[in-house]
Order: sequence, then structure tokens, then C-alpha cells
Amino acid sequence: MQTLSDQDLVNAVLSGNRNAFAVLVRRYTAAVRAVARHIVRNHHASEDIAQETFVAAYRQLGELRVACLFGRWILQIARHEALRALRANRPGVPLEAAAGIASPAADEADTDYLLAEVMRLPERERRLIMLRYFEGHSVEEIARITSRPPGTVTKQLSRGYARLRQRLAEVLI
Amino acid sequence: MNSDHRLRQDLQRLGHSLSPDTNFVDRVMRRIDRGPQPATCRRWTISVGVSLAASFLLALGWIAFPRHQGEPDTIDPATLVRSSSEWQTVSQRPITLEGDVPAREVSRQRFEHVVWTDPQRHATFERVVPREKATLITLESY
Repeated sequence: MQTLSDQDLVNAVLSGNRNAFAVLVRRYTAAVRAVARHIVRNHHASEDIAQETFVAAYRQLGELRVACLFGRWILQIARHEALRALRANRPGVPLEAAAGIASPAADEADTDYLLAEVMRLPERERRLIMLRYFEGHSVEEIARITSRPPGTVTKQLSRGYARLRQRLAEVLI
Repeated sequence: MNSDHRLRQDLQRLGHSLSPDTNFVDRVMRRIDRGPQPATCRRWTISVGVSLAASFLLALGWIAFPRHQGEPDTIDPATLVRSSSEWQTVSQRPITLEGDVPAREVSRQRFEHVVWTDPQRHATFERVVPREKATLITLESY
């Protein structure tokens, strides 16, 4: 089941196969957490938001019009849930996060900086970086998912790395 | 150490920190088990399909007179009646067109009825012809 496409998994869930949804959860948790954490800037709050995202996605799965776009769809839900949490200023989302200030722990701050810069990348480069490092796909798998030649994927990933290096160097100055 | 290599290592560490553990997946699955199941469009599609099939069978059962084999029918033009049902959607499915364009394929069906009387045989005939068409609707991608 791990090698099935998103479309096959969504159809399996809608046919009553609960385990297919667990595969989707494992596949997209890193990306969902990345989106949530980038918005709320808090590790624990982003965990709750990630859970809410998957629960909401499960309940609304029948409304997904194009099953193969599940990945983009769930990241939209994650963004919506995170913004909702910020607006509601829930317990667990500290005011610093609501103001857009990173949490104070050193390791978390480094992670947040890197995550923030990844999320600032142009959409195409960001998507490739997320597929490679948050969803764990190889270059060949990314080429298949995005319908681009592996050479193009490698080139665009390199462009993403160069942009990240430049921006991180600017942050350190 | 090469800065590119270090950046990739940092990205890998970031990815690992965001990856799910078994507890996270279990928590999500327990929550969805407690809640409602996702609504699907399959039930209404099956209902429409069953209704269409039932209508078709009823239309066939309408023919109460025996058919005569071999001789051509004589049609009394005064009795010729043509009608057709409304187009009904029987199925729809997501597809991907060339160039990664998401779209929806909608299959529609209707039945054309022709009823006439053969005055020589004093018989009424009915012909039911199903017509089907598929429409592709491109969708906005998110």
C-alpha cells in the first residue's frame, strides 16, 4: 500500500479502507507540520494543528474533486487550520507566535529559520524541497510525481539550495 | 565542510524532525474512528444507476404484445410517437489530461423512445435506444 498513488489511496479510503488513510497521514505529516509550524512558530501548537488538519481532511475527503491533487489540498487545509488557530489565539499558541516572533529555544530557532526560508522559496522550488526532504522522495520519484525529467528536477533543486544558502547567509550577517 | 553538503544535512534533519512517529499516526486514526465517516458521491451514483436500470426494465416490460419475426413493420404515421428522457449523469470520475491538467469526466445517459402501431398486425411496437455521452470538464488547480 505504501507504493500506491494518492489517487488510489483516496479512492480506497472512500471505499471504506481505513488503513489507506494512515498511509496518507504518514506520507504528508512532515509537509503539514512544516506549513503549520511556519505559521504558528510553535512546535506543540503545530502538532495539534497537524492532527486537526488530517481529521478535517478525512471528514471532507468526499468533497475532493480531483483525488490526485490530495497533496496540495491537504496543505491548503493545514494553512487554513493554522491561520484559524492564530486568529483564535488558542491556548498553546503563545502571543509571540501570533506576532510572528520565533520561539526562544536555540535549536527550535535554528529549525524555524531554516523552515521559514524554505517556505519563502518560489513555489516550484519549495515544492521540490518539500518532496525531497519532508516527504522523503528520491529524485526519480519526484520526477515521476511532477512529470518532469530527473535532470530538470536536479537542476531546480540545485537552484533551491543556492537560494536557501544565500538567504541563510543574509540572516547570519 | 562543503556548505551545500551542510545545507542538505540541515534539510534532512529538518525533515526528520517533522516526520511522523507511530504515536502521531495512532492519535489521528483514533480521532477519525470516533468521528463520522467521509461522505462520498458513490452512494448517489449507485442510486442513479439503479434507478436508470429500473426505468429501463419498466420500459421493456411495457411491451405487452408479441413481435412478429421476418416481415417488415408497417408504420402508421399517425401513431408514431417519439420522446426521450432527460440526460442523467450516470458516473463521474477525476482524470488527468495531457500536460497534467486535472479534469472531471462526466458520463450522461438518456433513453429515446419510439412507439408506433402496425395496423396490419394490430400490434404496438416500442423501441428504446440508450444514448450516452461523456463530457470533460477542466478544473482549476489549487
